[in-house]
Amino acid sequence: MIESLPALPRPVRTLEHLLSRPLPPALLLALLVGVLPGCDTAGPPTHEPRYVVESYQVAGEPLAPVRLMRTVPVGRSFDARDDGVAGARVRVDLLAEGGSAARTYAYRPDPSTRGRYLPEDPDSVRPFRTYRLRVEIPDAETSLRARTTIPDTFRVLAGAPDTVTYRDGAHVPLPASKSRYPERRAIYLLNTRTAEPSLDRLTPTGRELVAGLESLSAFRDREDEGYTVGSLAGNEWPLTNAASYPSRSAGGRTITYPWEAVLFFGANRIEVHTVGDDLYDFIRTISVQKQGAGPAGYTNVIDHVRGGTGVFGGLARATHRVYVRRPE
Amino acid sequence: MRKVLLVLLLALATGPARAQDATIRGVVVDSAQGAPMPGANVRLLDRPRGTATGQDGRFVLDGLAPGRYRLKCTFVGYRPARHTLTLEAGEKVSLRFVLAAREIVAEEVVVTGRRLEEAGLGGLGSATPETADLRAMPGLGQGDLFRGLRRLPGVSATTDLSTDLHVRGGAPGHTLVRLDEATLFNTGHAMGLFSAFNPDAVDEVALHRGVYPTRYGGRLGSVLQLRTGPSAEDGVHGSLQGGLLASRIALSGSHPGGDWLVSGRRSTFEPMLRELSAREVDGLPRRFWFYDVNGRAAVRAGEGHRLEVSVFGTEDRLELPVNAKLLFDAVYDQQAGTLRGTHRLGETVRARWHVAGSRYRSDARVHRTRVPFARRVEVRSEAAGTELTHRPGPRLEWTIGGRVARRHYDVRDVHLEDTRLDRRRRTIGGAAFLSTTLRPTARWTVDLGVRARHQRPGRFWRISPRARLSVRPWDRLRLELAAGRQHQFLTRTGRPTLSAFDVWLPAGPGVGPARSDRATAGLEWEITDCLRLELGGYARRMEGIFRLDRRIPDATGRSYGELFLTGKGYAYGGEAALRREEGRLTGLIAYTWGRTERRYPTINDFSYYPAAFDRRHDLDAVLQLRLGRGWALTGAYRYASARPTTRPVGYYTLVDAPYQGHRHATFVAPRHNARLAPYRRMDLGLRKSGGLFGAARYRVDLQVINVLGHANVWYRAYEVDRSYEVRRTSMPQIPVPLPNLSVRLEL
Repeated sequence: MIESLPALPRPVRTLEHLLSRPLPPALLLALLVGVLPGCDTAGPPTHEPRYVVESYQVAGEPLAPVRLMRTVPVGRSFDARDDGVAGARVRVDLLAEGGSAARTYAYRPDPSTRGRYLPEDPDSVRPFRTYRLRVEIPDAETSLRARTTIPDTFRVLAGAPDTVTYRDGAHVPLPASKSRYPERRAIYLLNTRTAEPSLDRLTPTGRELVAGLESLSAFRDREDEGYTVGSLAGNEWPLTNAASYPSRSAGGRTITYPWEAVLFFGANRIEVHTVGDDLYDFIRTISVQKQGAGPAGYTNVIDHVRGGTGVFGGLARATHRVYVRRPE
Repeated sequence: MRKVLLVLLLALATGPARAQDATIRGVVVDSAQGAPMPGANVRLLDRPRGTATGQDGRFVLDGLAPGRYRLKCTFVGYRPARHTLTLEAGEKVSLRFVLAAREIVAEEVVVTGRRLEEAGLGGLGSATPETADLRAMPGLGQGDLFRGLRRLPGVSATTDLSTDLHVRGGAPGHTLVRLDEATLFNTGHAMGLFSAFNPDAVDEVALHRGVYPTRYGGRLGSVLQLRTGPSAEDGVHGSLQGGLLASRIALSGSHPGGDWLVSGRRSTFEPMLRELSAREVDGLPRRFWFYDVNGRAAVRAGEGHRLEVSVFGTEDRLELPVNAKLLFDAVYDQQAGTLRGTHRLGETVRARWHVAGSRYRSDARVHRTRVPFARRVEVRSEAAGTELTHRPGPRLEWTIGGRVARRHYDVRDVHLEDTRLDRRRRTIGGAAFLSTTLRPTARWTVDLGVRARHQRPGRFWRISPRARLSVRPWDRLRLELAAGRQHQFLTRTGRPTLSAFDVWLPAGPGVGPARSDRATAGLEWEITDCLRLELGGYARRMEGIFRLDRRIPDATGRSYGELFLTGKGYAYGGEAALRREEGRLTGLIAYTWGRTERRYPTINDFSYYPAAFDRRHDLDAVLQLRLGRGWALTGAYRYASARPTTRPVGYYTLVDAPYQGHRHATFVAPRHNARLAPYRRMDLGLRKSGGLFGAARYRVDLQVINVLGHANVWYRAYEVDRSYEVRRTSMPQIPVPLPNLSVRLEL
């Protein structure tokens, strides 16, 4: 015989009651673990090609060519020829003080290189003046604009040593005449180029740099892959302000060229540049980008190109040849 | 007759027993007015017993068996108060609960260091250096106040490897951190793996997340006020906790004239480090140690007068070879001290004064690179302040006060042997504030305040008004609205996980103080005696926020204002928290939905982009289930939606560059155009606590951190190889389940 059981009182399911039992929180957590990840629906960013200009106008030198290229998506190789943009109308204006064009230089395509444009009138670049780049791309109905102010010319003065012994003295002194730039001090970029790069000629700093990349022997073994010692033939030093160098009583400053920038014994050519604002912003930010993305995140470059990216930069430069002897 | 006999038997049976029962009588009063509080709840913890106060604020709990009791008194809108006592048979005890109003509902969170740990909030935090060998080691989960605070709604973090707090869309430097009355400038040990505060030496942690009280100033976002303590209520009390990474000891005592505390903590990682180094494990720190010490003494100088002195000191040393090309070497230390007096001048007036100072020094270096880098930072602060509070009646209270501070900021960057940044700034600032609290009825409260501050050099005058309206429509419900303006006169620029490289610099010529306007709304509902729901919302706009521009390669000769990036920002969001503080199952479930963006001139064409710590959703659940006989299960879960990152989507290579020795890819991508994977982590633990021979208590925690083994991403790096292929590398935080064992002994 089956007895009918009395009905149990219906439990009162208050919120407190629910939370006082171990199972609901576990269920709640399980739900949250499973459901909440669905809240992030943002997809990966996609690449939208941008036009890139590249041109460096050097004070006192002929007007420089202009390159016009396109960015490529990451994962695809970049080739300046393949990714050059043809069919554009390129002009450079020399601006008057009021901002109007005092003179316009037309550019024509370089028949040998796609995306490269050459000035029709190879006039020299005037220091302390502002140039404006105008690029029209009819196929894309796009225009790009950029402007740069050219630093004043300067030169390395007599008295700079022609021959130095490595690490003899704190640095290589390079007396230079004054370099001006509107509304600020000059900003220097130092560069060394050697004509005879070889492993045998590496200075201790050069050897450290190679060993930092990999071991010297491994470096030698991988020359086939493009890791040639020749890639170190050109070597740059971080940007420095004029205030970092001592003033000369006769005017100008003495550039103190650091030994750490000298990677090869033998003949070296030291290039001292002063840069305009556009190039300064580009170089200082590409330097940070090159350091890679740490916890602080990836850094973009600052460019002054409206409608695209790249660099339309102004600079002045002076060079000095010096022979670096091995110490005794 | 039978009834008479029954009554006699009952009397015989119960009479002697009742004579053994103990009684607790008491009163609950408001700390501001001393007025009795009707309707306050008084409960016995661990026993299903409680009562409410009558109209006179009094209560009685009788019929209590001899034993140890913990009592908790609550009233909506007020901080709970607790008492622990031991009743002898037949004893009658009188208690007085003094409840202090929460200054801002859903704005201020007050917790004690002990409660954070007991709730498993701090103990489950963890951190790890990046090498797999260190990750595999247990013992990284040390109790940590800051990691506990991250569980609270509105508080988030970017990584497990840093103690930085992001409060309601603010940067870490937007939070003022005070230990007693001293301002602190580095809150992390081991480059940020742990907070600098020994949980045994912090009595109270008050985090003001929104429109903070007028006695504080100088920060855009929030205020974290820590108090040194606690001291034993009677006699001498000691505790000792050992762990693989750090161990700590604390001793405190009290006597009729006052109380005292000393504590210390030191890293105990060296034996493990030596063992691993002997096995030639790569990537380990060569040197790694830290310590901190705290001391506090308080004396009662007559009726209503009290003097307190507290000191704090830390030192860190870390030498970490990251790889063959990079070696970090950092040593930094910090000292702080406070002398404080409290005086009751009559029945209605109370005066407080303090003298405080702090110093932070850091010497951090990067070696093995072609251009070795060294940064030296020093910040010193000396301050004195006073305030006077007058309560002429139960409906009005006002406070007037001021503080003067002198600060020294030094920062020096040396690349190779060239000094690229060398700034020494001295500031003198003075602030005066006035605040008043009006209670037109028992249910309405209005707080009004204004703070004026001047700082030189720069001759900055800034006025910061604040207002708050609070209403209690029902006994268990409180609503609040608040609005205010805040200013920040200094900036902290740093990188996550590398706190030794942080730079502090003040506003000055060419860069003025930042400003923030904000409004908040809050709701607090005591659903039951032990279950509380908090809802909050906030919106803030920031102008003139400034930070050191790390992209300036050489600051020599540049004007002070040129060193900074100055921009704007905003943040808004909503928060919900459900707390259960009593019963077998206790814990907190907190959820934050928020958004915060920034705008700087040279980034993304001056358009808004998500801040690095912007997370849409942030969910934290911390639960503890008591199993009886001293056993408890703890669990913590965190889900945070993905934080922003910059993912290169395109690139180009310069061809004609006259200054480059070789060609480099230039990446192009809008800043923070992508997000990392969401963060998920679950920690589980088993705890056993109990007594040892009646003279000590022990606690053993066995935890597994990241029990699901989810590899949360710390950051991603991109690199282009010689064949122009882009390689992406993800740096994980804690990719494997990590066991942890800690033992604590209290004497």
